Amino acid sequence: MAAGGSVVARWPCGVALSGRHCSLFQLLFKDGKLMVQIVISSAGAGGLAEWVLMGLPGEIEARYSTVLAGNLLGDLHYTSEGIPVLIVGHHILYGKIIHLEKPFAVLVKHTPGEYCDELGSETGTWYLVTALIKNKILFKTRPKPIITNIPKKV
Amino acid sequence: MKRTRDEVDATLQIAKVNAAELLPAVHCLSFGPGAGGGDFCLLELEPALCQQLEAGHSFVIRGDKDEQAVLCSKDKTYDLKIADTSNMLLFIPGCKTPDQLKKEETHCNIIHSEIFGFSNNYWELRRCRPKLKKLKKLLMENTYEGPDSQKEKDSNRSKYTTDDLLDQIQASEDEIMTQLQVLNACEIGGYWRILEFDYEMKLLNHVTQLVDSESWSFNKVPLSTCLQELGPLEPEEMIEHCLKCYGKKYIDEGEVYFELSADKICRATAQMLLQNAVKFNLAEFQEVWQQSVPEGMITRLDQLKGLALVDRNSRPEIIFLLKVDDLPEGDQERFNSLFSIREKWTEEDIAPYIQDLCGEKQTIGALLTKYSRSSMQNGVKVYNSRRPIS
Repeated sequence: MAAGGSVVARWPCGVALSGRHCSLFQLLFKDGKLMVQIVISSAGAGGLAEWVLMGLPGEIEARYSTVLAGNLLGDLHYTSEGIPVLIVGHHILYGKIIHLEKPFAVLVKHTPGEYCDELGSETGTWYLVTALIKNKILFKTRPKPIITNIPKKV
Repeated sequence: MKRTRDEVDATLQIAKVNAAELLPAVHCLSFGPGAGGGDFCLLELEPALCQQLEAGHSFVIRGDKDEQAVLCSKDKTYDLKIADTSNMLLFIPGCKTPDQLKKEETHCNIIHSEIFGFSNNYWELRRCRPKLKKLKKLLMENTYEGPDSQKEKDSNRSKYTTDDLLDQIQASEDEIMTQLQVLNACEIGGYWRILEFDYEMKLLNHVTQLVDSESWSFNKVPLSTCLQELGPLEPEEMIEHCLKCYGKKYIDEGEVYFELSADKICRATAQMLLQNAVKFNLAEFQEVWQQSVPEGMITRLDQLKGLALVDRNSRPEIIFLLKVDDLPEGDQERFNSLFSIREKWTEEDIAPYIQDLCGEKQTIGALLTKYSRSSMQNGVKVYNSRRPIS
């Protein structure tokens, strides 16, 4: 039985493109104020989980439904040497694990009106640092298809 | 319905992967409830910034809708850019690395991990110069001329608190505070004010005249006596502010003293003289300048770096006011402005006017290479514009 049968990944190879400037409009979308401050707030080490980043070539598209939530992606294994192996649908990918020189923070956006600050005034858009990412599993190579001959009954 | 270990093993068999070569634990990855949404993003951090977040500090993004956004920590400013990647980046809570799995005492063999979200871009930071020119511009809207000035009675005049400034200036709090000191700004009634130059000179004059009449050393000016003697003339907070701007505070045997800076006082005196005309005969200026400073202080032209420019090619030699903070903030615009004032510059003359453009890794030499062309003139290396200036 294939792992993650409801998701198909398309696999062009890619290179990171850098640096379009970030205008505040892109961040806020609606705010028309002249000058704004957007706070990125951290709960500190006690409140920050450590997650992992996984890089997959291509795009993710749900095959059978337009909603991704709840769908399986695949099985992630590691060899005894620590090489990540990912089985997605009918593909198998081999990758590597990288300790990031520059960690990432995962920011979750909170919108105006959601909370009030201590003074009782509505907060504008702000971001909560929810987790830090210090490791990345990178799958870059073209996936190998799994050829199934005999369906196995489980 | 969660995947079972049996299903995982069956898949491994089909894929012809030898389970014996794998670590026992598998992560079954599925998409979490919010995964398709977009209200999250990735911010790339240099290690120092990561440590600050771990310590519970916050950052602030600042920017006018027409400006490029910057991210500020407490003491530094960064340009904020969106970097696109053409691979998908998935963020996975509860996913362990092989090292972490090996260190674990209990070995489970199946971990269900929900992907929180994914993205094909992230926010990238690059350290930049804080954008402080606006600070002076805002504070110059309503300079302080003393408590009795008509201006103070007009409540419509613009005034800025620290919070107002944080709202309007694309810089970190520490960088703003440092610049306020550089500008000799004073917090009066909760608002930051720049003193009108003549008023600032009036205060300084009171102090230097008192030092002279009391025959004090410039290195040991007692605060309490100053406040006592000058208090009837000007508010005490302004006397003390003047001493802080033009001297260094210290305590000796429980008394507060100020060590006045000859360099700062000579420089301010020069500005006072130079602002009254377009240019001055250099020799005449130097004579008047030396006579105008308090007795015992020695004037030197190098005290005027970034404030005035000497033209040794004109006959007679002249000097004129040229303040670096009146010049444009952007690199190319600054060089355009300097080259329109003078066609060819020596490195010694131009350095004070581009020093503030040097970033963390950029030197004066690098800037000159980028924005100018060099040539030799009378055995001296000079720099001129790369392209014609209109």
